[in-house]
Amino acid sequence: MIPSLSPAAPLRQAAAVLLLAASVSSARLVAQAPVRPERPAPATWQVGTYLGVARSSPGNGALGTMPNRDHLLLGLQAGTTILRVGAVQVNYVAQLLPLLVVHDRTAAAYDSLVKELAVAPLPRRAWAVGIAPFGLELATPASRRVSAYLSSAGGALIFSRAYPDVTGRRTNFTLEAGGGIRLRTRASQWAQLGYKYHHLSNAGTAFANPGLDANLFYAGYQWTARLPR
Amino acid sequence: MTVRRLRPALTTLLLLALAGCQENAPPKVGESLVYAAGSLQAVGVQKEVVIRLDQQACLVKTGDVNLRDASGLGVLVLTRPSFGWSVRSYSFPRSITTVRGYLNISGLGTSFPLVRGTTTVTRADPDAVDARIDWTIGHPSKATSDSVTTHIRVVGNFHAVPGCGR
Repeated sequence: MIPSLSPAAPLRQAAAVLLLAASVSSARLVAQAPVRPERPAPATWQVGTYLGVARSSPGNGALGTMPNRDHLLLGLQAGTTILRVGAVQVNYVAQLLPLLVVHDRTAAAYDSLVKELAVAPLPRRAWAVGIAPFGLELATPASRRVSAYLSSAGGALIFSRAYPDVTGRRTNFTLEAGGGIRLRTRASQWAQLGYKYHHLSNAGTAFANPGLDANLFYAGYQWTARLPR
Repeated sequence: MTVRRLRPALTTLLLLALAGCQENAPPKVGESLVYAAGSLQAVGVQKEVVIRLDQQACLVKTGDVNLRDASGLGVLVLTRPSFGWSVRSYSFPRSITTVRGYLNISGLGTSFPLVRGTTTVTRADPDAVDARIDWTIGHPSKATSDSVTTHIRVVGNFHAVPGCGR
């Protein structure tokens, strides 16, 4: 009847902290490796931008439970091939997210109650900026007229306020997975259509950790650029 | 960029994935449009409260109704509401057993019982409970003598269905 945190939650968080520390240590080892004398040659990157929308976040989502939120997401992305296995490319993709707006579509339903209580309502919108630097993509060759891909990524968002609940925190971590197609419009330019399941939550770093999921559909445009590897 | 150089980042991402999944939010059961707001003072704690109890409206096997918000922070419990159930003006001090509802706010470690209010129950059977509530909640039930300024209004409608602990 009265809620309580799972007894396993502190253990899980402690294990996560230890493993995070281990991963940071291994990152340092990599960083201490001898510097290569030669500067790597530039690589071909697919850079671009996309705009995504999602309506009515699921209350019984795969990871999150905050219902009735709409998303508007603007993203900048850059990806390059790191591995080829037959006709399939493995691409590393990084995203910069200059704008995420989340709108609470049911907030208006509470207006009469808020008026009755004579209190300030919870904000209807929240803004965030972020990055998703840990992205991988399995794709068919982009040289084809139509290419397809599956992708997943992780990152972080900083919101204008604690989100998605006042007991959460401004910083949230993201996970996403999805796929889409690219239509080659010119020699090295593509239109992009895709879908991704997008999740954000605070990894148990705040008092409460309600997650927010979204079924995000997006459209974008990409072109090639020579950038450092 | 090599896979080896990506490995720490991918490990971190995996850990975030494992830790980041929400863990204390309840699944959505029933429907509610209930807003709780006010201020409370427990021992050493002064807190403004604004909670939307919009996630769960659950009829449990004991006959109680739980309303919860998506964070799992606020839980409003109505103790065995029945058709036509209405509560008016409790006076304090009273034992928790005589109080027919309370608000539990996780983390504060205490429950705030109904002081006065009305609950108009339009349906109460094993399949569902429908009601309109307007409560004033206060005074921690754990009998802390200096907590006397609590005042929380809870107003709204709900449709509770079985689905948790049943």
